[in-house]
Amino acid sequence: MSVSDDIGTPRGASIVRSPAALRKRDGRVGRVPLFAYAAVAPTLLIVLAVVGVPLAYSLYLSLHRTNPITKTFIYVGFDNYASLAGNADFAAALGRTAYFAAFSVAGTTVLGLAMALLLNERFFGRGVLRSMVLVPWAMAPVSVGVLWSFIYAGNFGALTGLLNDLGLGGWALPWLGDGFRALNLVALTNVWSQAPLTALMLLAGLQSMPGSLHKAAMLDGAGPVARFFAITLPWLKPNLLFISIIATINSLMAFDILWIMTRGGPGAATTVLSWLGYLTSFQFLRFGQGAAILYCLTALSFVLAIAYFAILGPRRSRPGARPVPPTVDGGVPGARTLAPMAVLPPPRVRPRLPRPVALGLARGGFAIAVLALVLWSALPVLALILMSLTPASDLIRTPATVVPSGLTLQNFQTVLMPSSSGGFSTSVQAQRVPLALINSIVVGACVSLVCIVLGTFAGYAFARHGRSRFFAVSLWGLLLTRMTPGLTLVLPFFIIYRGFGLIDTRTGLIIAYCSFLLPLSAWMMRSYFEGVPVSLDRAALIDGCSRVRMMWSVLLPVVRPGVIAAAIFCFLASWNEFLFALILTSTPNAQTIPVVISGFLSQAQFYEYGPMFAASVLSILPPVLVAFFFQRFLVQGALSGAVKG
Amino acid sequence: MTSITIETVSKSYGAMPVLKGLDIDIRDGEFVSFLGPSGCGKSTLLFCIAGIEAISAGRILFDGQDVSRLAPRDRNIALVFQDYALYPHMAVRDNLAFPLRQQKLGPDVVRRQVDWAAGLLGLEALLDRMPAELSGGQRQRVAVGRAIVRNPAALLMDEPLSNLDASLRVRTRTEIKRLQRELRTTVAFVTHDQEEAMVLSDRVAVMNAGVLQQFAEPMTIYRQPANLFVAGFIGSPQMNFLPGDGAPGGHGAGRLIGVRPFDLVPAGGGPGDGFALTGELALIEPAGPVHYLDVDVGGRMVKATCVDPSGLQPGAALTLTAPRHTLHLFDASSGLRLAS
Amino acid sequence: MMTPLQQYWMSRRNVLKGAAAMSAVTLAGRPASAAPATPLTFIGWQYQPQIVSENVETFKKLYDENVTYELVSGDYHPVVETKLTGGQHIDMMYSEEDHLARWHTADWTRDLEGLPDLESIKAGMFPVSVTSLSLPDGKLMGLPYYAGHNAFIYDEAQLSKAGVGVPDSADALLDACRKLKKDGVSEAPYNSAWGQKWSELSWSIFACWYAEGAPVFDANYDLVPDAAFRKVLEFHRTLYKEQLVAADIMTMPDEGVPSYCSGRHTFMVLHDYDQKVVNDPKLSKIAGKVKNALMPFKTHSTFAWTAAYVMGKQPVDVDRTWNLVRFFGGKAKDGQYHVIKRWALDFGLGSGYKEVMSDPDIVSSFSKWRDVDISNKQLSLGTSRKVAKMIWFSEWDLFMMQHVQDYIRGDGSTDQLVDRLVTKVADLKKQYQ
Repeated sequence: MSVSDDIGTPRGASIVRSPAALRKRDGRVGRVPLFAYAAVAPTLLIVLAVVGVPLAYSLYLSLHRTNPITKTFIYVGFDNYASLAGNADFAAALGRTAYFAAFSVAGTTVLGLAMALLLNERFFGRGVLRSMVLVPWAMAPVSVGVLWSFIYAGNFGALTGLLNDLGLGGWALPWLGDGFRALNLVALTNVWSQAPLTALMLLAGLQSMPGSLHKAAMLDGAGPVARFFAITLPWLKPNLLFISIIATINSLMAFDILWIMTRGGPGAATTVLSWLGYLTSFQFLRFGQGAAILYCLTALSFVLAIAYFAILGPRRSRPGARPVPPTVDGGVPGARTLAPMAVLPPPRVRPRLPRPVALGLARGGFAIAVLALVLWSALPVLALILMSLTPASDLIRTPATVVPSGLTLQNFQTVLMPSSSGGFSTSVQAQRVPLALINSIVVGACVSLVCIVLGTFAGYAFARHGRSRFFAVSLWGLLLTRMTPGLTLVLPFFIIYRGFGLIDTRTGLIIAYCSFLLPLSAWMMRSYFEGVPVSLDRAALIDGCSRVRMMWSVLLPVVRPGVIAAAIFCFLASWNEFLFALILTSTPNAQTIPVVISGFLSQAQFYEYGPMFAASVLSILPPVLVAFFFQRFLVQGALSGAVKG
Repeated sequence: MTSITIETVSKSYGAMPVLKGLDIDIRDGEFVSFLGPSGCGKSTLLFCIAGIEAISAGRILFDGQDVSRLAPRDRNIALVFQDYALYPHMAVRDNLAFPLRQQKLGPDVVRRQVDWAAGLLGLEALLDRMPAELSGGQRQRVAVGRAIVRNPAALLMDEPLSNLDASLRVRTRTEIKRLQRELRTTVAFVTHDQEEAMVLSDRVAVMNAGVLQQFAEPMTIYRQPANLFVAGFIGSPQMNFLPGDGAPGGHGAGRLIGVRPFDLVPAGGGPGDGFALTGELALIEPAGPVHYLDVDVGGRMVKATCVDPSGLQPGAALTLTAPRHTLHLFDASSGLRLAS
Repeated sequence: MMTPLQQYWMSRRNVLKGAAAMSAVTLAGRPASAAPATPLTFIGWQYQPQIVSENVETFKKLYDENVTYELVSGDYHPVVETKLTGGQHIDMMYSEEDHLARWHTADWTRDLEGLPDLESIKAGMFPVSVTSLSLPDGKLMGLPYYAGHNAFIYDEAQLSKAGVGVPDSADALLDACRKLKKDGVSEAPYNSAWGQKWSELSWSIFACWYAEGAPVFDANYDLVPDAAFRKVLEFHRTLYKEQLVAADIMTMPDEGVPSYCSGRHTFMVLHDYDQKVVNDPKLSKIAGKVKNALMPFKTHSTFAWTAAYVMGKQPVDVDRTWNLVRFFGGKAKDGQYHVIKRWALDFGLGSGYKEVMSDPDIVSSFSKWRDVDISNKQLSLGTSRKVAKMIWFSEWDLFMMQHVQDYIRGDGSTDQLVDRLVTKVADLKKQYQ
């Protein structure tokens, strides 16, 4: 009997991650059942058809110099790309993009890590805090942009108002007035909105860490700081890898926030590549060159993803390495000459604070950290809610103050029952709010459903047969589609949709969103299935289940938290999507809530901010509620392997 | 190399008491096992000694010094965890070196010590492997190596053998015993396997539900269990318990008689001791050197042993007897041992 | 005059080779005959869509018609151009004057020449509006939605507090600002719309250029960097450098109007209709104290514009669409300027029609918040931005705004900026060949 196998796992998680142990036994690389192909087929087909064609078209466009005004359509090969090399605007935008991305990724990682560490401890109100922390992420980037551009507004913005109310009016600055400061503030807003996602992923990693590791390190003499760097961080490496890639892609492609907050200004200070691409494609109608600029972002994402893998990827793991032959197992030779034992100096007892003091300090510091987290996450949103309950004229008082003169539901009334509150010019938009909410709900629900059904099957196939070349390649292909900026696909989508009569339909939006979210869903479910032992499949098959039945009756209940997590992700992502909804819809028949919110923003006169904020609150309500009530599934789902990348 | 004195230690998790007034003193260089069923608090006690858990009342003294307020890293003890807790991203060498590096020792000293520990445990060939590439037994040795590499004053072990398969377990426990002899380290060893405790320990502390049942040498515990629980826990197969009034020799109601299977043999026809049980033979289980006999005595299954089962038929009546001095008498209500 | 049938058979080139087929809807257009089963599509931007919606309903009732009104969120022109590029069919849409020529060249819109009543309509408009609404070759592209110009306003109370008179030149304006700031009457005496949007910095700086007498572009549409041009640039830079404007003036929301309404500024160059808001006691702290004057630059000219309703290239039905265009952009069939008068009375939007502007209702309404004589005089001095008809102009405009913003904040010298702007014109002309 082989003694070299790892027999079972101890109570609690196995602390040594060895997918190798599983794969050793799964030797069927050559024979992939038809079921697996059938499982991935719908996903691949949808993504290929819906995204593939526009993608190919926009790549094709990027090789041309185009202008619909002058009707030019000249093939120029790679000239569009080559000409970027000497273009000063491009270089400047590239620099800003790099800065923005670096700031965002570093910020979200550090902040997310801090949040995860905090939330990993047990304390009263942890569940509530976890929900609260997710709120910024659940809000649409459009809503985030609206909120923060008002907070940062010059002399009547909420931030200035708060400083005034606290007596710190002297600190008030024209926040977005200075170029570099504007870039930093937008990046900070991006961090605010994205850090919860990082926190979620890292929290999952932390919760999967066995407590004994920390205890062992504690006994070995490592203090909290040493433990963090020596134990925690290396443990989190796979999670950090995944989240770095996601965060980088998100920050490189960031567009909604910039569009709302600064529109590339002041001057060119916040003109990053995505904004430059937008200008070139949509303002100047030079789609070819615009596409070339935007594909530089794709190339950048790809290169960075590879770099991340090189730095953070699993290192020199040799799964399936032949174990040391068991001959000397247990054969501690009494006869062997031993190296002499070193004489160790007695361990120094370091000066320590008396225990109660240290404990008090730790508790106090912890409380402060929790308080800071609450303020960071919740305060802006509370401000939003407060502003929506404030009479509209209050919002432009100067000197600015956040104390309302009175609370009123007038704004909500205007938005939800526009006919009864006459006179506001926002009421056409207001009439659209309930419809838009319905549209968003319908689209979100359908997209979630489709994505988790197809994604689960696809994820299963990828998990079980990830070695076979077909599956490996198609998996990476799916990831690649996530690295494509939406801006390049918008026009081809529009053209194709017009051809099929899908413009301004909910069906059209559902199809588009499914094609974006299926890769994400498949990836998540794949990671999740990798944590489910193959023996479960086999047991079910032996018991006489068909493969479909196996999925339904046996595996699905096991992966249920992961499915719910994926469903929540898909729902939120489709709820918050803005760009395609803007272009592909035109009437309340299909317009979703972010479009209507942005309409408010463009259109509300300054004395009509009240209804705009009320609509914003309504627009963030469903995602926030979802995040609130299902946060434990998100953590559990992510925890159970949805993000082992 | 220290003595550990546990002085009236109690611990509660909130309102739930886990350890109740334990008094155990472990001598310098002694190998003591904490033995008991799951949930009896033995691991908790171990963690309290290590300082990972705080105690609610009482004191813990190392060589007479109260260490209750000392942080774990200042107590100079090492703990081998049940799941080994090897640092997954470090090679074996670095795992071994980790505690030394935390003490800021020079690289030469570290290397020498690591080599010594590796040599002691036969890990030289594995120094550059990652924990994921090791087998269970190898990991266990690395865990032990990491514990001894810094010459701790005491070595605590939390069920370190429970994850090994049977033959490996037996071999490894011999190694542990030998190691302890060589290093003369004080060892506190937690286990739920009574055979392990018996084999390894100088003294055994039997615990149940947070209360110390008996603390004595293994054979004392075997031969003179202090109460019903200890009697039933130690010795495999388990001791037979019979109501006092039902047994011949009349020990009266409210008492229980305990007799071990190994002491209970088929009546040979020789002069009995006055203690005999008659029942129907239900099952004969060959177990190598002996055969176990399951006998139905008045509706109760009693286990006996015999060396030669020839002539015995399942279903036949059988009389069993045991020498009087091997009988144990217990008070049925308190469970305590009575003078036999 | 082309019959609908002839129009239908008029050849049109594909917008982009390889684009999917244009919608079948356009091919299904039939000659006008009763049943408004096919709705007219009307796209507008986000200004008072409630009112527009009501106007649409009025039209539908009056003419027994069927109209779909689509509201565009976001950047109006890019979004509409994207949809047009993608082949969307639109019958009538808004347009600012700088997109008229572009859309015409792209074959997305058609001119109005030859349609019934056009000559009398043209005759009733102010010449500057006619110029704004026409292509360089004189063809009228659209009917006026509203006509506006950049006006110069001041806070009377603040001026008298500092003992300063109404300035009438750039230097006088700077001195007045300095005095107001020094005396502590206002920490940012000057305000204007300096944001990077086509309706903000571009309009306000062109207004100043025209006011100072700089033609900006010559007859060949080359940039003319004369002394007046440079003086205006330096004027802006000085304002910013000496902190005579708010530090975040470039990212102020709503064209700087709410900031002015809070009373922290003295002078402003703004869209003329915003003066109504500034003098509205419900919305502004300084209501009643704000007066308008002629632009305080050498020639007192200003930038005047007219926004248009344009007709799509292939309307579902030309007659029906022409009715729609006339209803919104002129007299309805009952002879009333329904839509235009409403804009004027409710929002202070001026009109390109002489009749409307001299209507007693309008005059009395406007007089409540501005000096009508002065604004009429200002309008008569106004200049239309002909260069905006160039198809490359909006790209140059954006470039200009970006670089002027950087320049104002202290980047580079006037010469460098001028060179850049000149070169860009040449580049763009080549690109759009």
